[in-house]
Amino acid sequence: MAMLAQEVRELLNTNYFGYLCTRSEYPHITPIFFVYDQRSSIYFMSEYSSKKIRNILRDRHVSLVIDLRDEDDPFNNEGILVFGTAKVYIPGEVEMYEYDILYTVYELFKSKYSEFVEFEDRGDVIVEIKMERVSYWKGPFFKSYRMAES
Amino acid sequence: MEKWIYELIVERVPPFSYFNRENAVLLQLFIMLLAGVLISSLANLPAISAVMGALTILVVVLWSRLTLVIAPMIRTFRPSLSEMEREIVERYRKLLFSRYRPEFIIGAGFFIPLILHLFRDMTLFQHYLRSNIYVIFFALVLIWDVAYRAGIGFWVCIMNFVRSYRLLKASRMREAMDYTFLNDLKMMKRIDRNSLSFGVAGFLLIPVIYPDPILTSAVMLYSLFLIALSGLSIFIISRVPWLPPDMIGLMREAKFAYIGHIGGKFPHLTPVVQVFDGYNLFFVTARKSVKYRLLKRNPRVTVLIDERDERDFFRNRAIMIHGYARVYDSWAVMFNIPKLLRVFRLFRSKYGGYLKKYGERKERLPDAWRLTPIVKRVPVEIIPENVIYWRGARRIRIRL
Repeated sequence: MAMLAQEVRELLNTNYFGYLCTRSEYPHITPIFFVYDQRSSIYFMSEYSSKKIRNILRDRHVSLVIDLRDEDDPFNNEGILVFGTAKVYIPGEVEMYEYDILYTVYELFKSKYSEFVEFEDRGDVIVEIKMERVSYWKGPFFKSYRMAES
Repeated sequence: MEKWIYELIVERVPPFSYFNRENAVLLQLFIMLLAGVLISSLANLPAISAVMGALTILVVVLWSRLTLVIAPMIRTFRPSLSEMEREIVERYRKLLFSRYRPEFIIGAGFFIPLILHLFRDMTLFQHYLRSNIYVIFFALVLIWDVAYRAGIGFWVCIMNFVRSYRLLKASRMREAMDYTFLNDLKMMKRIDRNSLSFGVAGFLLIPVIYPDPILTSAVMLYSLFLIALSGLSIFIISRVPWLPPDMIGLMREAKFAYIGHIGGKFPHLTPVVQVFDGYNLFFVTARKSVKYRLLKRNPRVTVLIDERDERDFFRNRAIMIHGYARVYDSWAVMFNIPKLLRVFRLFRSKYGGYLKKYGERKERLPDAWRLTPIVKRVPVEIIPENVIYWRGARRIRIRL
């Protein structure tokens, strides 16, 4: 598996917000909280009935931007654009072997966001975004990574 | 709601009522021309009289058409979400279709002095009609047609202007979530444009009344007045924002926006810097960018503008706009120079810090980032079709 560069992993690990783009008649953009599994997947939680989940169930291809904005210096703007395919885990409908993943994801969420947000079990679904391509930029500098098929 | 007498005629009096409005106007044109030809040949009038009569009939028909276009537009407005603005539009509508028929009174107010002048002066009657008393009678019918419609045009134009002016004033006093719908504002602009055409059509009367200098200057004055006032009204109404102040504040302050596109295999999403000109949102993209290529292929986009509060996630606000992108490259630039200059000025003042940094490190800029507007980088305007606003956990649909 291709290893993501240090700066990309740092963005994934230190940012609280990501912007998810899904497709329906129009593109749909929503801010999300997310966690990174240190390998090639990003996870987020959402209500089953939300627009993004409905979109993903029809079209699994999504993109995600995670970026640091500097309002004074464009050369400090840094971010990644992730292209990936999404998979929805519905509680109660997951395979045995997937419980491990879900448990880990819950734990990751708790440790990352518990300071700010109270996580309660509202029967939200967990979505995995399997990264396929990642573009990284810092100022005018661009670099693209292609994740190996696993 | 009341209707104008002319509308009622077209709707209820046969044979006009058998046709839809557009064909009814054509039928009117046909009948009037037929009558004109008959009368002028029976009375043995010179060809010039027939031609000038036909020109007058053309003006009447153009004005009729505009009247029938404007009237239903005025009835379409929905109640605005600002109370003051709602009352202004309501009053505008009531006055235009008042039971007292002000447009008829104004028409009569044009007609009476007009015939008094024509009979005293006699220049035009002698010139065209050889003072034939029977033909003059028919001409009076035509003159009434002109005067009545001129009355409508005049009344509509004044009401438009008053409406625009009062709306702009009221829009300055809006509270957080007050607004008037975008499509209603656009409709007002269309009414004003029709009103302006009304004035322009009036110039067609000039050759007819040219032998009479007093009348010529009166008609010129009338047309110029309509054109100027309608133009002013268009200018004023395009300054009335269609978004509530709460959202405008966010659009102005937010330095970044995310532009989403259906893309190819995957959807495409990029952060951009943006400005809001009080009406629409603009961003700039490089001709070499993926975004530019995608937008040229499919202009449909989604924009997200948000405000992040790192301390309290639930106090966040966000605006999502679905719409299409108008890319200003090639010809589109030529026709929108004042607008684009304004947009560049907005960029300069909002991102002054950025531009300075670009200047300092010119040699490090990649080709696509070079600040050569239009040549390398093109402005893009978002024309909204659907707008959603999140205020904390509240989701508000902004009606257009």
